[in-house]
Amino acid sequence: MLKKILSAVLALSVIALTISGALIAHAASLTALSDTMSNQTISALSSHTIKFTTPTGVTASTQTIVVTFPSGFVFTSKTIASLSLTYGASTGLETTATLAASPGATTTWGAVFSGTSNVILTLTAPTSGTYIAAGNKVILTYDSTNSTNPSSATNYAISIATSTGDSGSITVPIITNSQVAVTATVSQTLSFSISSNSIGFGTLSTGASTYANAAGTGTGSETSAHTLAASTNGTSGYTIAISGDTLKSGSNSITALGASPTALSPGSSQFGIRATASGGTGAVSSPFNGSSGSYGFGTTPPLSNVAFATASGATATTTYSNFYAANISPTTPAGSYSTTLTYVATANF
Amino acid sequence: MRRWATILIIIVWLGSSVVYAADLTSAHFIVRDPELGTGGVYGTSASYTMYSAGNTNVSGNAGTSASYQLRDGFLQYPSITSGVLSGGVSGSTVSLTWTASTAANGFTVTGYNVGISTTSGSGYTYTNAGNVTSYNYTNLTPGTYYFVLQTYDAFSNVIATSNEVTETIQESVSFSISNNSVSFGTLTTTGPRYATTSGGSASLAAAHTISASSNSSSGYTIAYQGTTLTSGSNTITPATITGSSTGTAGANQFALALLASGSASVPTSYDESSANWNFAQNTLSAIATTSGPTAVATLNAYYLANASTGAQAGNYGTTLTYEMTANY
Repeated sequence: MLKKILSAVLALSVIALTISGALIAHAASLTALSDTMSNQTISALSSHTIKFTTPTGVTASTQTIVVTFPSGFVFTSKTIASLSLTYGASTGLETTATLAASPGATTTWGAVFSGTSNVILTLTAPTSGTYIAAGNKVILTYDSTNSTNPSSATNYAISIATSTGDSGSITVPIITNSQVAVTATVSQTLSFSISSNSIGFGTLSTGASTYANAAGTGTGSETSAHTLAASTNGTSGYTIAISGDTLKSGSNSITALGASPTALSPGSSQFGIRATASGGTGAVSSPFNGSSGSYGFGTTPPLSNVAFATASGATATTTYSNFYAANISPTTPAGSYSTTLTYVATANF
Repeated sequence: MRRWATILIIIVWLGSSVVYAADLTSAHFIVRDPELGTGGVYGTSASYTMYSAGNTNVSGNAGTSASYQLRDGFLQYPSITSGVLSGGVSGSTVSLTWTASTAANGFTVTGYNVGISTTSGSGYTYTNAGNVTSYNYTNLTPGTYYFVLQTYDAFSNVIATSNEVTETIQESVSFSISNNSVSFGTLTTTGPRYATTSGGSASLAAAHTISASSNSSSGYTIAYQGTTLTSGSNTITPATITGSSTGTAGANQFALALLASGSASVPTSYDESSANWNFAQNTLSAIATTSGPTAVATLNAYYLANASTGAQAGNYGTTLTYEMTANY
C-alpha cells in the first residue's frame, strides 16, 4: 500500500514539474539592438528605426512587445499609421505586420500607445497566424510625424521587453545640435564682347539695299557685319541695350526704320538693324528680331538704352549676328553718313 | 535488526570521511585544537619538550614530561584569510580593490587572480593581477558582471577565494559636433574651396570635428543625411572624387571627406587620407563605424566645392544632419 502511495506521489511530482517547466518563460537579453534616428537634436522631430533580435520570440496570441521611451520624448497625437513593424529570420523584413487598435488574425498586431506623451507602445501578437519566432529579427519604425525629441541634451535609454521574458535597452544621445549648416557663394559674372567696332556700307544705292560689313566696303547681299557675344550666371539673365542715332551727314539723315520689323524698300531712305541669336538662351528684342529682309530701328532716334537682346536667366554664351541695311532715295543728299552705336550689356541681378 | 545495521553502516561511513584534529585529553591536560607551528625550533617548558614540525605532519619525537606524554601525529593546517573584495563602476570600467590576504602556518601569499563572469558563482575568467590590491576592468560592455579574487601561493596554487562582488555597467554613449556652421566663402572656377568656420579656404582644411564614443558591444555608426548645396532651384552637383584632394577646377562639385583618429573606420569613398570624396544626396550614408566598445574617436570633416563657369550666381547652402547609432 505504501509503495503504491509513494509511486503515485512520485508520478504526480513528475507531472507537476513537467507542467511548470512548460509554463516557465526563460528570460533572455534582446540582442543586436539599435535605434537609428533621423535627427538627434534637442526638441527636433525625428524618426526612429528600432532593431533587435528576440531569442525567445513572441510566439502566441496575447503575447506582447512593449517599447518604452524615457520621459522627455513626446509622441502626443502620434497615430499607429505612422508606425511599421516587420520581422523575420534573416533580414527582419520578411513579414510585414498590419497594425491595428486590436490584434486580429494572420499578421494583424495590436498597437496601442499609453503613458505620458504616448511614450509607451504595446504591440500585441495576432489572434492567430504568423508570430515572431525565436531568434527572429524585429524592425519597428516610428516616422518623424509627432515624434519629438526631449528638450534636454543627454543620453536616453529606450527599453524594450516582451511578455515572453526577453528585454533590453538602447541608449541614444540627444545633443544640442546634430546639424551642420554649410554655405557658399557663387559670384555674379557677365561676359560681353563685340567682334568688330567699325563697319561700313561703302556707297549706298537707290537701286538695291546695301548691307554693312566689317571691311567697311558694304555688300549687296545680306551679310552679318559683326557679332555680339554675351553670357551670365545671373539668375535673372541680362539685357543688351543699344543707344545711338541713325546715319547722319551734318543735318542730313537716312530715315530710321520703325519700331517694328519693316521690309526693306530700295529707293527709299532707310536705315535699320536686324540680328539673329545662336547659342545660349539669349533672344533678340523687337524691332531688331525681324526675319531676313525685315529691319527695325526706332521711330524717334536717337535711341537711348533700347533693349536689343535679353536673356531671362543664367545662360551660356549667346552670339548675336548683327545685320545693318541702308537704302537711299533719289533725293537723299550726297555726303558721308555715319553714326556711332553703343551696346551695353547689363546683368539682371 | 537489518534496519539498525544499515544505520550503523551509514554512521561508520560518515565518521570515516571526517578528518579533523581532535582535542587531546588526559587526566592532567587538554590540548585544544592541536596545531603545530613552523619555524624549526623546539617548543620547550619545564614539563615538556615538543619538537618542531614541518608543514604537514608532526613526525619523529613525541613531547614528554614526567606527568604526561604528548603523542605526535597531528595534522598541521596552514591557514589563509582571504582579502575582502570590493568594487566600483565608472563608465565602462569596474575598479576592484581588496584587502591583502593573510597566510600562516606554511602558506605564503604570492599574488592574486581576479575573475570576471556574467554568471553568479561560476564561469569566471581569471587574470593574474600580480601581488597587488587593485585591478581595473576597462571597456566593459553594458551588463551585470560578477567578480571574485583568488589568492595564490608561491607554487601558483590557489589557496583562497574571496567573496563575490556584483557590478553593473550601464549603457553609455557620447556624440558631439565641434561647429554647426561652416562656409566655403566664394566658389571659384579656377580651384577648389574648402569650407571652414572662418569663411572658407583655398587650401585643404578641416571644417569641424565629430566625436563619439560608446560602450556598446557592437560599436556604433555615424551617418549623415542632407541635400547638396542649393540656391533656389540651382545646385552644386554632388561629386564622387577619387584620389584627388582638389577635385576638378571648373567643374561643378560638392563633396565630403573624413579623417578618423582613434578606432573609427571611414568608408573608402569618404577617406580623406586617400584623397577620396563623396556626397550621397538625400540618403542616410554611413561615414564612420566602430566594431566594439570605443573610447572617444574623432572625425575631421572636410568639405570641398568647385564651381563651373555655368554655376549660377547666388548664395548656396545646405544643412547636413549627422546621427550616431550605437549597436548593442
